[in-house]
Amino acid sequence: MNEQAVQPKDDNSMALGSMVVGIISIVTSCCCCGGIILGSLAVVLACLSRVETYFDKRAKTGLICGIIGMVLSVAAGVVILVYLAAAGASGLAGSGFYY
Amino acid sequence: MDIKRSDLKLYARRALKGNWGIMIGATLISMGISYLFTVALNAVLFAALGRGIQALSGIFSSSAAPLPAGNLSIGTMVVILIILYFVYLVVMLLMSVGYQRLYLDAAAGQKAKVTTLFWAFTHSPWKFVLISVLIALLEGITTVPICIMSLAAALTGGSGFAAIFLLIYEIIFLIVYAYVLLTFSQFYLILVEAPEKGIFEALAESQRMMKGNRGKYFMLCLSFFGLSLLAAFSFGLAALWLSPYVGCTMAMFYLGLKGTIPEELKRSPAETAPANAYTGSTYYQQTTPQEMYYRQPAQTTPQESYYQQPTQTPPQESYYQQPAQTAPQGTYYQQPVQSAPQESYYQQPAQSAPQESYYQQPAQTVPQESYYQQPAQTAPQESAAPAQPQADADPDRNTPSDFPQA
Repeated sequence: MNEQAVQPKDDNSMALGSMVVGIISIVTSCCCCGGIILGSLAVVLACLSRVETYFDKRAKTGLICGIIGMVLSVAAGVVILVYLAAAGASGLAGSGFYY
Repeated sequence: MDIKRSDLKLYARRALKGNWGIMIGATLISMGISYLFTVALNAVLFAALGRGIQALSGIFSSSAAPLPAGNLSIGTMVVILIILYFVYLVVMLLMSVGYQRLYLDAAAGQKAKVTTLFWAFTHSPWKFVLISVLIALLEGITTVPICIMSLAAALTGGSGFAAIFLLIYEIIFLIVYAYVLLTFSQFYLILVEAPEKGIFEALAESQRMMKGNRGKYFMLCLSFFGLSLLAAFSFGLAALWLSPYVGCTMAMFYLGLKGTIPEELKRSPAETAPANAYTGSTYYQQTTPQEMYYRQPAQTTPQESYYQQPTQTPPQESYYQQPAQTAPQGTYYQQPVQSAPQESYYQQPAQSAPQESYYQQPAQTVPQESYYQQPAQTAPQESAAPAQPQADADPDRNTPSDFPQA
């Protein structure tokens, strides 16, 4: 009977989706806003997947990955802005344009 | 209403589980219909504009090509545009009412259907249109003082008094508007649930329901701010999920005010799930049904949850301590000669594997027997309880250390 009984039916697909989107958000965090878009989506999906009083493990993974993806995306944006500003300043300086 | 905000949201998520596809599909259908109307409106609008420009060029330039005969005139196009826009507004309004019905169905524990989106088209549609027109008129009337004061200030040139008046008016208006909005917040849901009710009856009922609950509703609305911000970060993508969640939570609030939240939503899905279906972390935390049974009695099978219902106590306790509330088992133990009910109980297909294996396996009978032998548990059923079968030992059984210590 146990052979019939142990048939895991894992239907919390939203938690799985949260985890997948969260991982993709980390991967795409260096791209244009990919981390923010997918990371926020992963966080929302993780929050909405909680049908128990505790978080599903995959939902927790998606939540953490989504937050990491958003943070990395913001950091990447800041770095790119700083780099562009520095490059622009050096370019202006190199061209002899001061005032 | 003494239900916590977090509990309402939890019930809404449980209600939406299994209905997410329907909800998102309904949203996409609504967006598609809205898009089609927008395309049609734009086509008529630009055709009218083109015809107008063509007519103007015909007036001011003699070399312009004459209007082709047989085409629609500008007036006809404007009439078509107005009618089309009115139809668009009515369709969108009725679909928004259908959304409310969809959320209410999901919150009530029913299986949502996409066709519910068009529910209002067949249930008092003109009543909802009339209500929306009245609300729009009322909102329009409230802006009349602002228009008058702005016009007066523009004409007289004195803007100081007008600015102070507008500021005070806006503040008072916001407070009154929020109060009215909160008071009659359940108005639509009342009508959606019972479209035969009158408008004033629904208004009075909403006022009665919201008495003392306006603050809770306000805080419930505010609590979605964080998720809404995240949805905005996702460029509206997360709104596909967030919108049904918010709507279903509001519907759950309404059911909470009425006291008709389904009981199955108040229990964990692991409790209400079939014995051989495990979800989420339950599957990872518990390897076998036997371990699940012994280690976490709260996450029970349907059979156990049946026994828990009268007193909400652990299944074994309620079973032995309250024989009057446990009819099938109690009947069995009080009449040991009649073994048929027990057999028929085991033979029920829906209550199958774990229960059978539990009762038939000798190692599983240990706690039952040790329970009977305790002198403190002196229920009359215990002395009459038949010995459980001891055959077919299962090597997969739990170790005795897994059994509850009596």
